[in-house]
Amino acid sequence: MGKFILKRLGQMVLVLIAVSVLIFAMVRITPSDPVASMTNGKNVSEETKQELREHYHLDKSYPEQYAIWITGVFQGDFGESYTYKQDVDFLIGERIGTTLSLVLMAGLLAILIAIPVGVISAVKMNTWLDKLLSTLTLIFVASPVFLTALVLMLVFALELKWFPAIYQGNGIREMILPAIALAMNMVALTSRITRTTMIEQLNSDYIRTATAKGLPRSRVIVTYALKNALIPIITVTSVQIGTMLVGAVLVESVFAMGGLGDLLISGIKAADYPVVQGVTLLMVTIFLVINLLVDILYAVLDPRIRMK
Amino acid sequence: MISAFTGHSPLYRSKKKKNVGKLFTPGVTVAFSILVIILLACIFAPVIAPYDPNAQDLTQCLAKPSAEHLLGCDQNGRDLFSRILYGGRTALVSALLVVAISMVIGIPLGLISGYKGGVIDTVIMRCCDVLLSFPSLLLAFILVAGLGRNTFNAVLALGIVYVPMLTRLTRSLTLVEKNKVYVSACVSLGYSDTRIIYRHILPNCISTILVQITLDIAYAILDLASLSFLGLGTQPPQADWGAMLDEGRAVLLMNPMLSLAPGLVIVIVVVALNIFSDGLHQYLDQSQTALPNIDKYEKKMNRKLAKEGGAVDG
Amino acid sequence: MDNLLEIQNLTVELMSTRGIVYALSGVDLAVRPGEIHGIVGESGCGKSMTAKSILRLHNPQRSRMRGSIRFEGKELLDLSNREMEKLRGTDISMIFQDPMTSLNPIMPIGAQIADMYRIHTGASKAEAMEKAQELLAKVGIEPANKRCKQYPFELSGGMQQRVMIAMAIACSPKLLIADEPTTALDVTIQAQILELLQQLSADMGMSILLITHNFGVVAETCDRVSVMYAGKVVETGDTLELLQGASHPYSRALIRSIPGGGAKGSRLETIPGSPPALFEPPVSCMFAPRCPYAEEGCLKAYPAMIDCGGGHLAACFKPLDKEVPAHV
Repeated sequence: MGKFILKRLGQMVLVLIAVSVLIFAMVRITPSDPVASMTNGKNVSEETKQELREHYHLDKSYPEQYAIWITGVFQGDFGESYTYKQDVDFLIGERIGTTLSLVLMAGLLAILIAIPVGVISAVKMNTWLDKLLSTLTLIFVASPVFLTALVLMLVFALELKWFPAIYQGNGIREMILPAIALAMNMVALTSRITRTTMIEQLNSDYIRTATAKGLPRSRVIVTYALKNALIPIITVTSVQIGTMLVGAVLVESVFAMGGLGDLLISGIKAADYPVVQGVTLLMVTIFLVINLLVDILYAVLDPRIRMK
Repeated sequence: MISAFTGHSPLYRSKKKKNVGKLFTPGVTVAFSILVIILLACIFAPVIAPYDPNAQDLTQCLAKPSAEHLLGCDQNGRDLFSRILYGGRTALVSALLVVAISMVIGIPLGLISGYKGGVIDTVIMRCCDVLLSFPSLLLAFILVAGLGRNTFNAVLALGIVYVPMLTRLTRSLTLVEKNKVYVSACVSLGYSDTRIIYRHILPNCISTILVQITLDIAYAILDLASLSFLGLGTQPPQADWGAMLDEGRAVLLMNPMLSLAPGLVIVIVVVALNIFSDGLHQYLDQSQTALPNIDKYEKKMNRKLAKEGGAVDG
Repeated sequence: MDNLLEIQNLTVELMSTRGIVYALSGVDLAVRPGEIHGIVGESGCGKSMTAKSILRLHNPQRSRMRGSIRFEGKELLDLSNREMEKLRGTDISMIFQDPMTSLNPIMPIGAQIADMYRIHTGASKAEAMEKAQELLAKVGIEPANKRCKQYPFELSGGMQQRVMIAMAIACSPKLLIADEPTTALDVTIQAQILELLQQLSADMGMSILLITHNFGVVAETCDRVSVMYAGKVVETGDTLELLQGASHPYSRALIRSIPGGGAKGSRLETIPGSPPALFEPPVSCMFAPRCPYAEEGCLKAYPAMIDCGGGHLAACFKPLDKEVPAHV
């Protein structure tokens, strides 16, 4: 087990290095002069521009710039933002709490709703209940997360005034609508996957054996079918969490939450390379760490993988 | 004569066959019709749309729905209905382009990777791994950050983002096909790899790929809308469903229709595409078909037989 | 002698992608206490369907069962789902063709056996585990205390089938249904499993309903045998008697197509044609279209079981005499 984790960690570091090169290269596909964004388009002397370039190492070649950035990253220094004129790690530190709690809350909410919904749909396959749930989940699969967020905001914040429309960082109540908005998409996808896998499992031979053994239906469904179904469900969920990280960007935009997403989008619009690079690398890292955790969980659940 | 006894009238059987597992079930028919109607409406937008989508009539700012303006007007006095039609052109053409780009790159890569194996396979797969370690839209974000923000770059970015998934799918299908006997037969006949890959393996994988493609179109519509909503895709004043949603939210309380109408159209199209894709999947893979309840099925068949029996006998 | 299991006129209809399948149409079958009773026939003739029907393992939404299945005089088709759950595994248990997929892949084998034992007896975890080890030893999996922690994928096919058997006999059932238990196994392993089943039957006084498509297996193991064709039992009798002189033309043809059955060097006989698809309820003898002895009357009515003497039953209008040669 330890060896397995170590191997996966090693792979992850390699992938992250490749990712960092890719990020660095991609934001620079079309050459542009970031100095314009530093000065907010104001006219400044050529000397000042030169000073700025030197300050941000823009006078150096790309490989050198990359080397400076990545050595910094390993020391926890993500560089200085062109527009905010502050350290990127400080900017991230200020905002990461909001984003992570949003994703965490939405993720938990999603799993708590999705799995029971999927199991019920599978067990009651082709009944009116299953059809109702399937229709609902299909609508939420199709509804872009920002639309769900806007509708929730319109109904529950602006019309009914049950919740605040804007997130200001005061407590869990402000987080509820954004979390639901972010969760709905994952609820829909996960419950659909749960339904499909459960149906597959319930039709499998070992379930027939369990039934023929005389185990009660509830036990067959939960301890036999669901436990086996969890393995594929978890795989899909881990990819979903990546989608959720990006979904958080959209939800943050709707509720003006000022999280990592806002930082990233404003960074992209202002060609603020250090911010874009820093936030992106962080998000990929979070995504990969979650994937690693899922792989470990996978091995815990499935002896066939654990014993390899 | 004894051998003449087969026990079944062929007519009776062929009817039964048709009834379970056809492509155009009621749900798929409705979904498909909706898709066709929306597609036609967008293609003929210049004919159908009552106004120029960018014409501003400042006397009509935020006008409520009326006979002149079916869905009302936005804050700049532009006709919402016309903008939705033209926005659909942007959204649908872009989505189709995204999928086309991903197909042109992804399918050949997957076929080669799966068929050739070895170093090429490893290289292609490692590249996919790296790309897939980005949450998908995030990759699109930074590609747009590098390329610049406009519709074309958003399409290009998403097209690239969709490549690794399609490559992996094609590869896994190729791996299955590769080990079948007909491929060995082709090799033994001295066919070239290219011929085997494109003339023999691809046609056997294409149905599964097709199902994925219809779903990808739906995802592309959603992702493009997300990019536009964040201001990273289509830029105003060009009409696009995602961008319209973004513009509308500034006046969400005064006229929610401005955001909800394009949102609703997106949902309808994506739901329809999902139903169509599901139907296609079930049609191509009959083992997945959910069987109807036996009592209901029998009642239905009896009713049908009674109807037709009357016609045949009489 | 009272029969342990008595199936009368059992009809099963199933939903399939191509419409309703009339899978069983009037199966009659009786299993006596302590006997090994074989069911034999081509694939798709309804052998497994009969087995699954006894334990009511069909999806109730997509199937319909009529007729009567009596176990120790109790009508199984009338039992509630809860009563049925209690009966499965305790009075009647079952093993399947593919042991690999029939075991829960993510549960150690000992736990799977113990789980079943606990549910039915209410024993404690420790007791159940002890029982599981005892059962594993009984079916020849040793050392049981180590093996019980293994997962199905760590065992060979033969061992997996032994686990299935251990699980099936945990609560000393009166009837064990074995649905093609050796089909997926190597020939040498097959013999071992059959021997184990025979020995368990003798030791525990347990009846076994052995389903197979292989007449050789029947000849070696079964006391009596029923031959099925197109959803119906066409002949029942003592194995030896039936092998020597089948009364139904189908049974006779089936026996003649056993490799090694005929004279050495003779051509293996085949049955021309193929079994009918069962999309319509049968109205006449289903074998008639392939039967060399069929006459006009065979196509008009459904033959009932007739007694050919000594409990030897055949569903044929013109049962063959023992002396009649197979081909006219």
